[in-house]
Amino acid sequence: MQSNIRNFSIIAHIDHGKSTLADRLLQFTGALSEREMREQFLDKMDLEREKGITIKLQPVRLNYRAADGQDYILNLIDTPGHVDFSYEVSRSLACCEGALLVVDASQGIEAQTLANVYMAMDLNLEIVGAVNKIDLPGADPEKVKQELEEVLGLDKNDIVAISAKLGIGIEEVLEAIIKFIPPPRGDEQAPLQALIFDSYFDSYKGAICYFRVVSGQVRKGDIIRMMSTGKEYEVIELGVFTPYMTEVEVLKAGEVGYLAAGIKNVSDTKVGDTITLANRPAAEPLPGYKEVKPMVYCGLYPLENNDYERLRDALDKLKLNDASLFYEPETSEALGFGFRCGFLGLLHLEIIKERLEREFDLSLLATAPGVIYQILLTDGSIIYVSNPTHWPAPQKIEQVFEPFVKASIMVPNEYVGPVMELCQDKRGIFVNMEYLSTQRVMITYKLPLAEILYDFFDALKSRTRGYASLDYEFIGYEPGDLVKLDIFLNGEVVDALSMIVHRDRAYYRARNVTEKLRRIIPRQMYEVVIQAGIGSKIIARETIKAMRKDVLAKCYGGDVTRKKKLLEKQKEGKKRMKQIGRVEVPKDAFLTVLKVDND
Amino acid sequence: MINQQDYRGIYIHIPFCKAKCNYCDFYSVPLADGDWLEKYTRGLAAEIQQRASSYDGQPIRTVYFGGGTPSLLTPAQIETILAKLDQAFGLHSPMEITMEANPATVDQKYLRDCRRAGINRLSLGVQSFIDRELHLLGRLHSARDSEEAVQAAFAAGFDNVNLDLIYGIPGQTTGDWEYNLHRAMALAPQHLSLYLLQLEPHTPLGRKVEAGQLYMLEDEEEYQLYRTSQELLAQKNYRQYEISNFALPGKECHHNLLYWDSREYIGLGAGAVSFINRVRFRNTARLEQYLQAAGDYPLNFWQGEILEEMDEEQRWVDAVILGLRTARGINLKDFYRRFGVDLHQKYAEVIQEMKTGGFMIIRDGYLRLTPSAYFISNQILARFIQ
Repeated sequence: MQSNIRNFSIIAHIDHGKSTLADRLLQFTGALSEREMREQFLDKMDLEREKGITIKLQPVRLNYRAADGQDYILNLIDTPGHVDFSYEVSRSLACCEGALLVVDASQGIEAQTLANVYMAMDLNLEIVGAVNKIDLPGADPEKVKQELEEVLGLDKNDIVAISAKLGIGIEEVLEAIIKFIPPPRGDEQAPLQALIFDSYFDSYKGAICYFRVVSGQVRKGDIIRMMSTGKEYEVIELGVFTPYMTEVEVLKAGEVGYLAAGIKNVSDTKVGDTITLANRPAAEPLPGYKEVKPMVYCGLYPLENNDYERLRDALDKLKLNDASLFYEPETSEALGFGFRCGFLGLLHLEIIKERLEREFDLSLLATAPGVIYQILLTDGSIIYVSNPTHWPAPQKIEQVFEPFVKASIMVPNEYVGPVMELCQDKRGIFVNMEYLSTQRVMITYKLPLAEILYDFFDALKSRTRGYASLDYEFIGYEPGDLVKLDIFLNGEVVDALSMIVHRDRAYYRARNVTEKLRRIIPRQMYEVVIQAGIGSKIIARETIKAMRKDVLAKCYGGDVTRKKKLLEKQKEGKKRMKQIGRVEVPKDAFLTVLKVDND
Repeated sequence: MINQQDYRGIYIHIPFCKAKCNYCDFYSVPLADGDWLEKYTRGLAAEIQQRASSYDGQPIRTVYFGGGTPSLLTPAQIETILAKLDQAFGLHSPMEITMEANPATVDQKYLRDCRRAGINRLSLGVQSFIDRELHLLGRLHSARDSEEAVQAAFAAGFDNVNLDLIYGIPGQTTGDWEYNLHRAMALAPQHLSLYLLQLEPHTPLGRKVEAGQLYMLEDEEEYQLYRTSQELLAQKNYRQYEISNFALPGKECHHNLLYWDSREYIGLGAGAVSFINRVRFRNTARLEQYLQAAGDYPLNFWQGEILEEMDEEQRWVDAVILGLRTARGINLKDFYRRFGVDLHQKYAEVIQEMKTGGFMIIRDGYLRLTPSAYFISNQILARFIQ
């Protein structure tokens, strides 16, 4: 039985065609009829479909009759393609014996993809290469195959050339998966060990775990035990993804599926935990996942103060299948009660914020994202600060250390200059430059993480006409000459707008932020003075003149209703504003302030 | 002096014009044929009859003929309508009976006859004393016509005359506007209504601005024109009693005050709005439909569409946003008596902030905006909306 199972992931860069290939695999194996098919079927979230990016595909089980006449079960357990989510990649890969590497035939392999392939190789996964989009005019499949052979050591003769869009080579991909990826080898008779690789909360069924059975078997009605907490539950529903959730009686070693067991508490289904049976437990849990540490922090505040509890509940629910999400309560003078949240990166931040707003109908305000600083105080103690509000007074600071990353940027050789200039601008320290082929270069820099947060990716894309790809990993803390920049509205400091900046950039940032605020804050009844300062020293100032006209000149009997509606609309508009002192600030201001346009 | 307690007003809409003005998006019908006015007068008579049959008997203290161009009515038609109103609702002195008039349509004889028919207040749509501006607005009369019309009104015996003027006309300078105000004041009208030109998208003027052929003034410039008006008119004893209205003492328009006092009124004619028993509704605006309904008497032909049915809270919110338009403001005690709401307490925070900012004051038991706040009054009024 196990010999006819293949568990695999797809590793691909954003836009290299992962979702389209997944669609084709579903169609080719008959998992979905033409009628049921819609584009990017496995992109679960509306958000993913809208943004045209795949954070992670939903798992799916494909039934395939191969050329050898045998029937196979192929489980696709996806990996996310974005740099923010590399930890998720490791967790999906741990459930697979192989990975399908998809590379755009006109672009070649990208930095992030490369990092993920290395991760898969470290886990001893078999790599099946596929060069996609061979139908495009700029496609050069042979060159890309050559590159994959040089960089990854794949045999270029084993790499499949496909066009997911046109449905070319789909069968070859399936055959290659069967041929090269080994079947799972777990003992069906051993005690149950099942690895939870994902979970989500269903309001009717409770927490639902996605898992891979590594050894043993699990049946509907079994009493299971979560090995990290020791809590026990009865399996109420057991099933596989066809791609719809379809109930089955038993899942055995090597298989992938889901279960519901009336688990009310979201924290009881930890991703990475091992499920075993209560009456015949496994001796040891599976290795699980390393804890991921958030890299980017910001404050999230409900616009309506009484939504605070709802925000907490929503964060609890998202945390269930996103172990990387961190949050703790914090208060701001300007914004009231909220949470300091930690994310893997900016995209992660944006996605969480949008999900909170859409799926939980919350109106949120996000403060400027920042990193976590290590500060050596004059008394010799060390503190960690992610919220600028908690930044110590300058005289108490002995030395500040900031997180640095090693950034690998892959780029066609004609863009080496612009990329190095950008890295230099962002306080980068050159490490290495390596030619992957005659035209492709990998540039490595040490960069302060905080600089990467400020539009680095956009700047990189615009300077390389979209050809550069970026991967980075945290390497440690290094000393930095950093100061806290405060923003004042009519003389009052807005704690939520304070930011930590490098001293050399403080003046530029101060001018940039005050000018942006002048543009984004609408005229008010009063003149608004915007200032930026370090300590008590003001280094930039802008003024918004008082509003001059907002009047219904004529208002007689006939049109009172219409005029009142105008005023009501105006009142509604105020909901998009946050009152700070006497000043109404649009809620977007906080994120807008952060975006620095260098170009 | 009219007793301000418990009275209602009547508005009569005359939806005919000789030609449409370039800035106007009100419903009106170009008048080709005098027959229409005769039919329309009969229609009004029928509606008056019908509306009065279910009327609760509150005294009527003001009548206002608005338009359109009410001065297209003959004195005889006016007399017929007023007689019908008197018979149906009872019009008892002192009554304020206003008619809007287009300077192009009136002479001394006509005005004298109107006065005899019962009109005692005249509102002339002068708009500007600069011919270039009149042309741009699409008005059919000249500055000279307006002057003659005002003089004719006084000669005909009117002692309560309003002039409507428009400011913020594309190209208008502070000098132009001061000139207009001086020409107006030189005629010594009792009342002046100054309206900021409102750009309506589906008008000839709106399209020209859209196409970039004309430019509206900047907010700052419009504000300066407004401040100029306040200063110049105050010097000649015209007191500002509402955002856009100025009058010599005792010559305020009671009909308009009735609206801003959030009182009820009966609207008659095609497209007229009524506010009776807490319901605001509009008669059908389509002339044929209106006249046909008049023939089908006793159908409830005036009921075109209900705009608002107001609960107690909506009533007092209305009273706030209308009352704060007036210079007198809101009498807090009266307000409490009428609606059972202590505004001062309920909006303590907003009022305090507005007082601190110099936008509001409370004096002699009245809550009011300061004159410098009128031009940004929406900002303040919106805060009182629930």
